[in-house]
Amino acid sequence: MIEALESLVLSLADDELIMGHRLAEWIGLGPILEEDIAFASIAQDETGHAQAYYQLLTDLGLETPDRYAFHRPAERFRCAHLVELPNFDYDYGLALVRHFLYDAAEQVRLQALRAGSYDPLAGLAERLLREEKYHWMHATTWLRQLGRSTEEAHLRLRSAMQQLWPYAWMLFEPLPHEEEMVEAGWIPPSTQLRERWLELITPLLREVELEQPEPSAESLLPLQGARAGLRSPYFDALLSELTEVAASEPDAEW
Amino acid sequence: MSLTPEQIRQWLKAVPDPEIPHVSVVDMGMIGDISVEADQVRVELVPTFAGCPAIRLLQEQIGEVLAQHGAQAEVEVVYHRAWRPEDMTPEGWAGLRKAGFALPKRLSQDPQELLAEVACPKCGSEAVSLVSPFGPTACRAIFRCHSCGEAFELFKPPV
Repeated sequence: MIEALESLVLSLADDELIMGHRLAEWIGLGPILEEDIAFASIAQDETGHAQAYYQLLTDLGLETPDRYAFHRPAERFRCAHLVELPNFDYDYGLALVRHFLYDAAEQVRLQALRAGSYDPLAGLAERLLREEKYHWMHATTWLRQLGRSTEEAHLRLRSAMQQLWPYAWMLFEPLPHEEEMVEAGWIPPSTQLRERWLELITPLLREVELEQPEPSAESLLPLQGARAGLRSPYFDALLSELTEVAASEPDAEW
Repeated sequence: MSLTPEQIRQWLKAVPDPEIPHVSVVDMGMIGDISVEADQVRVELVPTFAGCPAIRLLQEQIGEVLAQHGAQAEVEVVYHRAWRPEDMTPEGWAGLRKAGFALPKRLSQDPQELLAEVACPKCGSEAVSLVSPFGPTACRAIFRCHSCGEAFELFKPPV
């Protein structure tokens, strides 16, 4: 049971930690000051959520949040490749579409966990949803705003959808030990969560006339195995930056 | 004399919220259950936002204040339960107002609604616009008043 629980919680926690890191990279580079603050604030929330998830495992006698975040080899991370993708040339359209697709997934996952049978996770999900509502509001406000503005904006959103869609689809790759989680009633199967995610985003994407690409088998294939430890080519550089300070003095008391 | 949770709660009124001085952690509703067994005290600390960077500092300050009263305390940070604005005391709300924050008129669970019904804390005008739902800390949103021209912050709870 503990393996299944760690598999579930790490998938959630690592998504948050790495998404938080990527959002934090926008500090000082946002298109307007308010967006700089928004991404910084959301990054702080996501990092805090990661810590709260790790703490849940710590309370069960597993590792501490700092050990999970800063002293873990790359292959023991369980995040989706969507959050590992770099910000490339800091295209706000790309960042916004990732934020939208990811936060929609968070809404769906947290609502499912809140209704799930594992009390510590259900309670935590209730807490996090109350914060995540602001993230979701932010993502949908800007999607609607830019989706109905200039041709340039729409072009950037379309190209971001093309690029990110397979990655977003694979947020719902089945987790290792998933059968056990489903049987215990902690969370529904990933395929069912993906359906709910599509139900949430489809009307919004229609509203701004953004098509959902068909995920082809060949676009999905290289993304398989993320939840079992297969990292993207971008991960090592990210991890070494994230852990640079902690690694400089591994035994330090912070 | 044996320690009581009420006594401990009273002592903890000396611990301010580091980001909102003049409001104690007790009045902010951040102190959950308190238990005393023999001389060992256990205090639950319930963060407003999970990513609040002041949590570690608060844990230390709570431990120090109780130590000054001769009590050994373990401060447990609670994530598996949400902090709710309803947990704040009337003194807590008054302290926020005194610190210059606008307060939500109604504790709606819809962030759009919560951010739509706001009055300027300086002049009371409702002719205000939201500049950013995200401010210098997780629990603040930035507004501008069109009547008096001042910028101000709304205390923005998790909803």
